[in-house]
Amino acid sequence: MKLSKEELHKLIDRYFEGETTLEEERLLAEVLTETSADDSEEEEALAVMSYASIRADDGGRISRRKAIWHVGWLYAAVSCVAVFVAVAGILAVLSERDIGLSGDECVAYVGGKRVDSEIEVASLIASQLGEMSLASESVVKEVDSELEDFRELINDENEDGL
Amino acid sequence: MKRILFIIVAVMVGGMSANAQEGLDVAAFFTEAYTSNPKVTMVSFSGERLESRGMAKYKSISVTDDSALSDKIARAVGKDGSRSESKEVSYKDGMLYFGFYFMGGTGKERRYLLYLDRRAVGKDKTTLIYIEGNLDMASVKRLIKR
Repeated sequence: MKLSKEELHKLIDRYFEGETTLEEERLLAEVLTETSADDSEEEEALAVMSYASIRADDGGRISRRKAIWHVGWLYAAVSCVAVFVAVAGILAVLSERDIGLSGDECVAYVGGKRVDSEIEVASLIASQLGEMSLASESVVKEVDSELEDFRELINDENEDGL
Repeated sequence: MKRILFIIVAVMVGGMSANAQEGLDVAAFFTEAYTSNPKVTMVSFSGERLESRGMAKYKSISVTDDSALSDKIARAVGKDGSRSESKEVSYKDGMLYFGFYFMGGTGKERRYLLYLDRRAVGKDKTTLIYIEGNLDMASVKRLIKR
């Protein structure tokens, strides 16, 4: 049996308000499954009726109100995941905007001027690592010097002990 | 229904946690915001040409004669350093002078920070280097000493 769009939507409204008879629900299910759901209201009605029928098949009883609630929660959960994925994707794109993260890149900015020459960039890197090397060596020397002080102290105490 | 909701929440929490672990406070200084600063030198090198040198990513920022910016970098390094898996640091006159931090990761995603603030020895220059690659700490040290 075919229903006009207006008749279908009136029947859906009555279904959600719990005013349909069993015969009318069977008719609604038949119409929704035979025709593709064209709008969100038809999709929602199909989802609720499908959910309610699955739970009925499982042997569990489920009221229409509970079915609407469960489907509503499912839509909310799926929406949350979609929002989360969208936000994560946007954040990932934004974080990729810092220099040199994407793919092959070899660039320097010196006093605001862009340098693309690999030789010059490599030279800058060598210079920076060289500075770190000197600092690291000075730290090691300091540690050695302090340990030497302790060694001397311990040696003096050992000699006194003898 | 409960199982579906639990899985969804678990995925969201797991995703958020993973994202939080990857973030470093110093990342803010390796952005386009500083490329036009006349007191800054920035380097960014990544890809195959760098992998021949044993690294996957090299990023650095060097600041000369800008104490305010140097202080910001120092604070960010302090925060990230407190979360490092291992570190070697040296202080002079109460200021962090040199820092070498392993920020965790495995394989090619091992991350290191190198920090040098020469204001403590009378030169207003601060350098921060970020290195990522399949390198252990000893290899990074050899890289510095080449």
